[in-house]
Amino acid sequence: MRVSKQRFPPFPYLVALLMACFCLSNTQASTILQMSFGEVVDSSELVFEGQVASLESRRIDDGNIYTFVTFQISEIVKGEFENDTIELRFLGGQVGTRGLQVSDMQMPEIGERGIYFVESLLRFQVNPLVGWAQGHYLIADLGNGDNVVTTANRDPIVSVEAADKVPATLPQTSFSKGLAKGVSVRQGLVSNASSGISAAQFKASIREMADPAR
Amino acid sequence: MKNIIKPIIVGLALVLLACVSVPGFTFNIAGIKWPGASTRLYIGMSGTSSSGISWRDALNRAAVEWTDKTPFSFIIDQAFRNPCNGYSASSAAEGFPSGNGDGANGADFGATVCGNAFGDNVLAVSLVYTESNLLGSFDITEADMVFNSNSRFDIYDGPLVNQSRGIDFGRVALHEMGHVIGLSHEQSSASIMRATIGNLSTLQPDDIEGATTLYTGYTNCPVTSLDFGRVTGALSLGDCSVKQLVGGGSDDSLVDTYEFTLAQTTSVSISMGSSSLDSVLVLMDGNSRVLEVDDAGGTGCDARISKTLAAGTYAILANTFAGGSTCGKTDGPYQITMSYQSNALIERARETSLQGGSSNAKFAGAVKARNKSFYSNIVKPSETFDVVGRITVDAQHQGQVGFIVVAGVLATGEILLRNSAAQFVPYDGKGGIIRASTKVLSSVESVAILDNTRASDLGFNDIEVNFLIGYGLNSNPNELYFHSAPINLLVTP
Repeated sequence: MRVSKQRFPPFPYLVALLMACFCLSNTQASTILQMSFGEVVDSSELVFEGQVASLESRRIDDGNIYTFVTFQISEIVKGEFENDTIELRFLGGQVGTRGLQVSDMQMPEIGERGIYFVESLLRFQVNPLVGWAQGHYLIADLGNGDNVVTTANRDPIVSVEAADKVPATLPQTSFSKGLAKGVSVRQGLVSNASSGISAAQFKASIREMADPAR
Repeated sequence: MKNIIKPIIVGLALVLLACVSVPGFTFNIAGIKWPGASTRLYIGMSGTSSSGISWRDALNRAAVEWTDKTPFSFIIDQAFRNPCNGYSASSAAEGFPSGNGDGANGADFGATVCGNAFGDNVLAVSLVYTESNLLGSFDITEADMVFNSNSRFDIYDGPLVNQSRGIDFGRVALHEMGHVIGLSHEQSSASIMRATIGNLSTLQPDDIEGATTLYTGYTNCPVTSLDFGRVTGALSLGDCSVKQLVGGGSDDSLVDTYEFTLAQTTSVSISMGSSSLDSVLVLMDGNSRVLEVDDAGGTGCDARISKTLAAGTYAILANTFAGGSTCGKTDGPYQITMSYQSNALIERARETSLQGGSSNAKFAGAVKARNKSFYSNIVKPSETFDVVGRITVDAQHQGQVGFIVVAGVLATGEILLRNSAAQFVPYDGKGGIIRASTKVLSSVESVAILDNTRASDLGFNDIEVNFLIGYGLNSNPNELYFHSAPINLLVTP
């Protein structure tokens, strides 16, 4: 039995429980076609580096449950956005004992730092990130000033290429497995700077794809 | 007569051998599932694909495949239900307050996911309403599928993506239904639930194994047979956890799993007591649907569940708390006592015979205190009671000269047989079977096991005896037809 017999569980325990519940809701999957990394860049109205400052699931006026994620923006990589923070709305979440889970909704977690590809600043989408996990990357700080970019599943990225550079031997269109075509990863944990490319290298690649004339 | 308990021991051994732990699977589940391993799915989507096959037929085919190949069952309903009923703001006008679904599992095409844009390259989305449960996981209460009407679908075999025809709807539906029942993406094995399902068009072993683990429920952990009477056990490190049992979730509390079968509707009472453990009892049906949970129905930290149950198989989880308890420990020894109250004799199953012969004989029995109007296996030391049995003799044996045997097995393993003088005498395995009576067998034989007995008169204050009754034929005196599910007597203060 999950619930403690203490009639009023300590608040941190409750938070941990809710967080555990929330993490569970992030394991499902919808049917999304795999995109090339170049397509992900092209389809993004805004690409930014930032950190998740807050995360709240609640019902809004239409009655549905949404999770609102507020990011502290540290750098705009593509597009224009004037504010230091941005709030993105994801369909689904946990409110009390009631949950609405959207398959494949891999929501950002509180405190995570990453590079996010926002499809539209005007449209309300099920998931505001392009190609869902294909537009969601994390930055793993190594503690010595170095960092490595990983997928949302925390696999370190070793290279990124635009679609036209993807070898023809790779499978053609298929369902997304959380990774755009052209993004190569190394399975395993991030151990040092050689585990993958840095955030600076990753952002430089994005800028080059977004504006090849640069 | 020692041979009588041999089948019991063999049976127990088989049960123990059948208890396997969950191997390391590659599918991805999180304990999110439908209680009862079944739900109704409304497949009445209108329209037909370019291939001439209707979308409804494709949904039907996918639902049938999940139902036929896994322990999960879709109850297929040909009616149409809008998957966005209860999601979008317009739902209120249709009688469905937005934000709570409509309790029906629908499927349809939509330009948006109930008012939210799909986003680039999103073909279909499953929306799953859940309710958290006491076992640290989630019960699915509704699941709806929305297919992107801006995508080009058709229905065909062969490679998944056909440049001239679009995407095969059948495979997308089969894949989405995996999410509807609670499966997540699988990354390493070839499966429909793999993110890149490629050219597969039917469920693969990994898909079936995933659904099986999610929905075989309590058999994910070792299962011990339970019957009326007492059983002792202990929750200790290395035991199965609820998380393992339900196939995911966050409840890592220890659990022992027991299974029992009722042949008739019976009012059952189950209690779990311990001198140290904070006890939790969970009663499930055969499909792992939680029927009742109790953590304080007994005295102190003990648990107790009383419920009238229909004939069938049930599971009892001897459990405790995750995350500590202020009432007791979360590991340690415990005792489970299962009793009944019934207006009729309790049918006793697992018919067997000494020499492997088969019969259609049926057995029943019960204990009745003379001051009570109902049968129950529990009596107080001061109560006068009878233990009675009933044998429905196999039609082929009726009218033949035969004999009745009554055995009592003590907790120590000692066996007592009732003789023709109505006395129970120790049985040492020598000298042949002791008969309670010899007679021409009728179609139904009433068997007096204990008559007008008071335990305190015999010097017993707390004792458990399991009785077995059987019959044989004089023409084949070494064969005995009996039952191995005993008639339990529990004398307790």
